[in-house]
Amino acid sequence: MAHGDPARPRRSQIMALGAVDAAHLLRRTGFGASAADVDRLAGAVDRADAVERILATFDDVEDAPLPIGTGPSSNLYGDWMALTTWWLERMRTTSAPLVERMVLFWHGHFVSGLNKVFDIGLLAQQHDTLRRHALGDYRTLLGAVAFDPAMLLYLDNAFNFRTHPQENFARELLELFTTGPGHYDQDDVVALARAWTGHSVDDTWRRYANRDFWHDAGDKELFGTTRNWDGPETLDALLFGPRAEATSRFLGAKLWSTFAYPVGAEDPEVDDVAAAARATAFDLRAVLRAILTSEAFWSDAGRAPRTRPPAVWIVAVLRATGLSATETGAAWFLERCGQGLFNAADVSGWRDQDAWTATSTTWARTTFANQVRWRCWIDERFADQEVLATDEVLDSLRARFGVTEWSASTERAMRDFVDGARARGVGWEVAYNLPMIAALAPEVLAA
Amino acid sequence: MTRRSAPCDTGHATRWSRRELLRGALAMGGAAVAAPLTTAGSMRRAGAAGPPDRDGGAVVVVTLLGGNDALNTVVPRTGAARATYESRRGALAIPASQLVGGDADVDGSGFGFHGSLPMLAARYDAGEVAVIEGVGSTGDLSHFIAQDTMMSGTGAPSATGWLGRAADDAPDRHDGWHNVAIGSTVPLHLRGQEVRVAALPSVGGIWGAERTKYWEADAIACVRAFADDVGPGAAGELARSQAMALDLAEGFGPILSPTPTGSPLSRDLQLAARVLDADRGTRAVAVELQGWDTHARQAATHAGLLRQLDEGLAAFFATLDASRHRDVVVLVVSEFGRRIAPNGSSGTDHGHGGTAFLIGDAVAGGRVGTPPDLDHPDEDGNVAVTTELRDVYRTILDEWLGGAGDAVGSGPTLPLFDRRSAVAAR
Repeated sequence: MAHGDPARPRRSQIMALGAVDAAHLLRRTGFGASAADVDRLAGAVDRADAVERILATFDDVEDAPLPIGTGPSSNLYGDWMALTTWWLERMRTTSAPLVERMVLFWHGHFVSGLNKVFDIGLLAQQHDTLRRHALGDYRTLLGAVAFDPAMLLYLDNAFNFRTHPQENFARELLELFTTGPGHYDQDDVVALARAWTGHSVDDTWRRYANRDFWHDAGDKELFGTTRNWDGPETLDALLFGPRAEATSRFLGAKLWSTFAYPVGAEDPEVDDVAAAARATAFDLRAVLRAILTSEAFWSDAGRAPRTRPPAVWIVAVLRATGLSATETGAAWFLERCGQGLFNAADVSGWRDQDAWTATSTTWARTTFANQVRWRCWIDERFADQEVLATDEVLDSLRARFGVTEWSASTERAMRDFVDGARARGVGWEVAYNLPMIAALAPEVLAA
Repeated sequence: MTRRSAPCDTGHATRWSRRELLRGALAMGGAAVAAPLTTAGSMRRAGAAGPPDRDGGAVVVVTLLGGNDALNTVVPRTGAARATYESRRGALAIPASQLVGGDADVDGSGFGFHGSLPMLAARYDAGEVAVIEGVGSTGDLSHFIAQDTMMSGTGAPSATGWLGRAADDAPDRHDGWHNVAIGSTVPLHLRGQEVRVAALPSVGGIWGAERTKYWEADAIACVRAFADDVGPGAAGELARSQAMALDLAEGFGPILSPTPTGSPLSRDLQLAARVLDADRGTRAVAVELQGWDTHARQAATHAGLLRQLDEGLAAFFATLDASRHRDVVVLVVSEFGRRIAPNGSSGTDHGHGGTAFLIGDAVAGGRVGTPPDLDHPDEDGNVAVTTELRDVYRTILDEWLGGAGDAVGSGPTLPLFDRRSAVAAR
């Protein structure tokens, strides 16, 4: 390897985090690990220090004024694409990638889809709410989302009243947002639905309103206590009361599965994470700290490549090539990949990771990579590759795409391509095809 | 199992007479008559025709995700059943004058289809729709568990589905054409351990179909080569599925062009028809439509969805080559029905028993299973589940797709197919 190769630590950094660990942490908490980012973080004293630096980025994140209003839209599709493009650009250019990864996590956790709400302004408003509380405490976030108009409409709680309770929100509150399946029965769902009656929207349907006269003020038995339960109190019970352990494990497992590797709520990896949640009243930074500083996160299992969800892959490719979401029409391709932001197919978000290997998602990715190839060619972004020797081509691609090491099969395929084209006198296609080939390499698809 | 025989008018009586005879025999519970009709071997012994060869039939599964409100899809038209329906359904009841087709009143069993389903009603009138009632889920009322249970065909959630397991033994299970999904994910119906399933996008082109230009061929070759000797794990999975996708792109590319037009379901079903017309050995196609979970303000939403379903089915049959109409059937399913009484938001919550449809030239038309008995709901006050969807699957696997061993376990089959048409398919 060449001198100064980021994979080999410099002598002065032996007592510091090092480039390999820095790259792992950056890839998991962001959208890639450019050479500059790796260099900066590699100087951290140790893993705990590096994690603190990453967690602290939330404090300095730039303001994010929405690109569209939160009022009624006269161009639903156009505004939806504009909002998606804006968010992809945030992910691409932010100095705090972890914030964007957390907003993306909450976006898939607290789903409100355009396919039912039909109001992009309300979804923009909800997005703002998620962003503000992304790394605060879960009780505050959960309370804000429960009163969010888009959510009140999406899960029908706006139409939940005393004479005819509506179970949709209550069920998903238990199944998806707090305890997860197995910790409640149908009677709990009914009682919870009754407790949430009256929490609705005003006559404009754009703001929360507490419609007292719709509230069922009778006694309900919930988790062993019978009284006039009212909505927000049930959140306290779910997070701090009889269901605290279940909720801490369910949420902990979901976050662990996102940042490390898939686990179930009962798996041992979740023990410390759930304990941290309960000890800090669900402070999200404490939960993330527990995950990112654990032995398992830094183990082989923790480092094994994870499929990048389409949004994360697209942003990683944009960061590597310098292209923008706007000029590549990335928002449209993201929808084709099966991860249309603000429009998850159902309330469980994008739970099925197998979906990312489906043929139509793969085709949408390769077609996006084709688009990237074209725009890089027009801008001559990879023209420098033409004069580099094959070894240097591979190294420079690694650095640009934030890959620690190409696997043997990837390296062989790329080498054959570059050498083959040059041997046949068509070296021009090296600069042309490289951005596409690199974007579709296994080490970029999964990180 | 009971089955009512009620032709729409006497003009159909002669054409229906053979079906009436079969149904009458079954209704009398004549096991001696019923048994030979459900096993291919004894049918041949009896001199009757067998099912299509393995090279013949195909099924298109349309899944309505969210729990279709069956009670407002297939609606009681007359008699006591109608009175109970109107009183229990209140403002959500569909006026009898807005119903189309169905069966005239015979002993209070008359029904009509929701007004948004004229094509389906016309096919029913022609004896080509089996209305399969009392299918659904009694377990957990969660969509995800109910959908997985419905699509697995094992009675519980599973990692594989009935058509996937059935394809796992097929000689062509690796070529990506045997089971095809339209959309961005592969529904569980089609997933097996071995079978490779392509998911065809209904909008947007596919890179990789064009290989004549050398720079495209070189790029494709390199990306394909990423899958050579790549290890297990996520990276390997992605590399391999990418290589497969490139191989398939050549074949599927022409199917996507020109881009179909119309509603999402219509576009998906047009593609499904094109896949079958391509005659590459496809045996199962799966299409899905979201949005049926009508908890609030149901009337207009449901009408719109049913209209999309009807138009989609019409577009499918209009696109499908005439020569294939005799060996393709369409199965429409949903994970459960909905509650009998409306909730406070002018909608309905999750229920149990619902209704499935099997449509095609070879289908024995009529009602199958037990019509919803609103006076005798199950212990949760819901329309009861009286027919196992697994029995429907078994019938299709054994009598239409040429037998698939234990894909859904052993058990009874239902009289869903018209033997005469099945002969013509061979």
